[in-house]
Amino acid sequence: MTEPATEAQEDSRAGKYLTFMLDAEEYGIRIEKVQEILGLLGITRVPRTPHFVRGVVNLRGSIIPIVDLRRKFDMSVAEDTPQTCIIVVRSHGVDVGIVVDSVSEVVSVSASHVEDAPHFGDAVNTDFLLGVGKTGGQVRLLLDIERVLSTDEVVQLRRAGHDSELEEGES
Amino acid sequence: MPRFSTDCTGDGQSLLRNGADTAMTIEEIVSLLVQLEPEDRDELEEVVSALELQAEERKADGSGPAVPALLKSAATKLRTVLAPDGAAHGPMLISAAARLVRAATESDRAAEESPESTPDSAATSESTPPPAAEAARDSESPDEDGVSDSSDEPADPPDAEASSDEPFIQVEPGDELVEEFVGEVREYCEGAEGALLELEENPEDREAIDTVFRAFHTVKGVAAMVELDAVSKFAHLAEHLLDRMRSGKIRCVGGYADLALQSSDMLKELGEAVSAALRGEKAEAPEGYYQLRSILEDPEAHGVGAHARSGLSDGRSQPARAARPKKATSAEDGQWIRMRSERLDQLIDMVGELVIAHAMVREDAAIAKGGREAQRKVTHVSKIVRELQDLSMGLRMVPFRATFKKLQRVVRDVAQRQGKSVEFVTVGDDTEIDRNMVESLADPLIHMVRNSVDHGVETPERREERGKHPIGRVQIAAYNSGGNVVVELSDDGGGLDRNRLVDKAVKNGVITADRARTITDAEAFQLVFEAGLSTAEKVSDVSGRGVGMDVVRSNVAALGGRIDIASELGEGTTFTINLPLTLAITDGMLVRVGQERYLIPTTDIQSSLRPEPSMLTTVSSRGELLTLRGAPIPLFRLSRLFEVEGAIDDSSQALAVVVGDGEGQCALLVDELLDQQQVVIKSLGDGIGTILGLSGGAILADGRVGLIVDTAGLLTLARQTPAVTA
Repeated sequence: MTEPATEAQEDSRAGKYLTFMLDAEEYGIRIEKVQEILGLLGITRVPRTPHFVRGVVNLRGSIIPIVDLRRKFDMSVAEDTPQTCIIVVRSHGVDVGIVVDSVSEVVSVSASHVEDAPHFGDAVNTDFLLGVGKTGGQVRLLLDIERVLSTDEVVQLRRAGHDSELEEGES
Repeated sequence: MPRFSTDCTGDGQSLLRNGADTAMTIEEIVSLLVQLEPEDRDELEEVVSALELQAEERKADGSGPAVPALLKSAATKLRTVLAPDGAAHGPMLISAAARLVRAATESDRAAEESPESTPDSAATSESTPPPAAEAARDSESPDEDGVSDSSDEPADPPDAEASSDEPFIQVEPGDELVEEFVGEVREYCEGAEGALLELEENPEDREAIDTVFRAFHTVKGVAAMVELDAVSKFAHLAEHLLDRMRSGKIRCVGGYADLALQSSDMLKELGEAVSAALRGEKAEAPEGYYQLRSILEDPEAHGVGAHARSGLSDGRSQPARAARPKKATSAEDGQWIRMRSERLDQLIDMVGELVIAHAMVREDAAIAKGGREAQRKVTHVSKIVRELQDLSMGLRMVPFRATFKKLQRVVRDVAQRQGKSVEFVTVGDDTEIDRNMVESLADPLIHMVRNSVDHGVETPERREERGKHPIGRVQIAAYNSGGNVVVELSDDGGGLDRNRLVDKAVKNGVITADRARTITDAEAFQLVFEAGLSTAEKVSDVSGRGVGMDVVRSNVAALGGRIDIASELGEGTTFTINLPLTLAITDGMLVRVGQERYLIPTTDIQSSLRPEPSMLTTVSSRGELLTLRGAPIPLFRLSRLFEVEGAIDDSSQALAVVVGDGEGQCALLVDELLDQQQVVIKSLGDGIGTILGLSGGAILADGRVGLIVDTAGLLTLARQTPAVTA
């Protein structure tokens, strides 16, 4: 389970990804997981929830939770901009919105362009990555969004340089 | 119309009349019929003329009576469509007509291929032309004695059994017409059942007899239309029984009443058999079908009479021929429609969207700038939208009436089987509840009522020994109480034996002997809900069916409800089911705290006030207190419980909302009361889970989510949160 990249998975990782920016990094999530993209509007804060939960929004009559991905990944908090938006993804049968800095594009990643995450070395926690997509000279981290959202903890996507021990986002 | 109307536009009728056999053959009529809608009146009229013309010609050329009869019957059906109220069953009638015409062509062909064979037999085996016009119009007179009312239709005597090698019910799997039929049968039978139970009270209730009669009559007609002979023949016999009641030949009492009820049940079962056949399963005749049928054919010969319940004849045999009944009163067709529940949910969601979208328009700055005229128009739309919202929210609410009717039936059956006399009283059957809830509530209630009659009410002898009225009494009441729906089931039976319950629980290891010594009455009564604990002294054929009491409790719990039991040994038992309105609508007061808004259920709110400094005290151990009419109650700051920044800090500048009562009374400090809103409670979703102090969320008028405060949970939360330091 902790080994995301095996031979068999090579092919399954190929496909279309919606890419978005978070801080200076570009990430991708599988297009099939994406339900829709919303502007950053009308979030109601919910008390007594983890700090990475921004709140809930009304999605055509249904109430869905909104997770701030920057906070989830323990990145620096940034001001919302007009480009900040919500990507609604389906995770374990439930719609969840994730807040990202901006949405970039939809790219096709072929099997030959997917590489296992460990190429980054110890700096990156690979548990939440499907792999790394390299297309058009750009490098994108392909997120396993369901895994990211199914943990209640903050995900330490980048490991602290001095900490080479395996840790799964325990804070 | 496509082919037809292009071929002979305008004077189509004259064209047909002049040369029907060349202008429109039977085959052409068939292909035209499949394309026609009830609205295509002109085309339908032309087809009717063509059919009648064809029928006349066939009669004249001596090809036998079958083909003309079929064609005529088809024409009659189409005329029904053209009749003022015929459009409702239009599509069904048109396709039935098409089938009849097709049968005629096949009969035609059969006659051509083997001139020796009589066209009659072909017609009878291929289709049973139903008493056509009756199907859609109840006002028509029914048949006499099972012979079709139009003499030119091939008659199908009611005693003719389906040939043995044919399946009992033959339908195309997935046939939509038949599917619709099954739904109708169910509906009509439920209506008939309700009316029959009313008849038990008052056998002379003319209206009830008419209702049952119409139900059977309609089922017969529609069954014939979709060619379900077994059903239509049975319905015919049942209708005949009711017809005798209508004409006053027999009274709806004793064995006759039982027979009518059994017939209604059998029709329902036949409907289920058809539904099974639709799913492609092999449909067998329901148990007792043939027996009941032969009893219906001549009830007296089987010993059924006004006094004899079964088997025994009262000697008065009545002729099985009824007088032609008077015209039935106006049919109730068109007052009800059936629809998919998802569509209803969709509609309700869409109306919700509309309300939100409209609110956005209303609040738009452009409208404010648009002057009085624009605002007046928007206000007008607001009113309509508000009414539409009220209407749509009410759509899902249904009264308890139908459920209670079902229960009445259960009481009747169980009481009869056990030789008990039980009066069943219903109170507040127009109390409304979300239909999703009523569905999940039906089974538990049936079980509980069955238990009340079976285990609660004693036999008449026993009751007299105890000095009670020999007729037992079971009452079910539904009412609204403080935002809850309460269903109360009480009987005046033997009551629960507290000690026996406890003994049994100890013996079965449900509780320990130690616990048994300290258990309270209320706790002891709750033991009836434990699996495997039956209080019945003997197991009857009634108990042990369906769900057990443990399932009753879990079903009610799943609806967010609670059951309380009160019982007095020898005096009776009362079950009180408290159901929240979580599936329904709630009125909420929208309050502001800092930049956040919350909804407090209006039913929880006692009062609201701006606290005077003199009313406020701070006790280090108990936090802030608000003295209200001399009594201090805890004061909680919503901003602190929910960690909201920017709220008013000076309590005398804020507002205190007093919620709850008794032990749970407290005051919540908010910045401002905004608005009262009617909202639909929604869960915050699996993604968030439950949060102490919140019962859910709701979509507010501006489209944003508002959080609904759970005052009881808030109290718990407040006790966990460290007291405020002064």
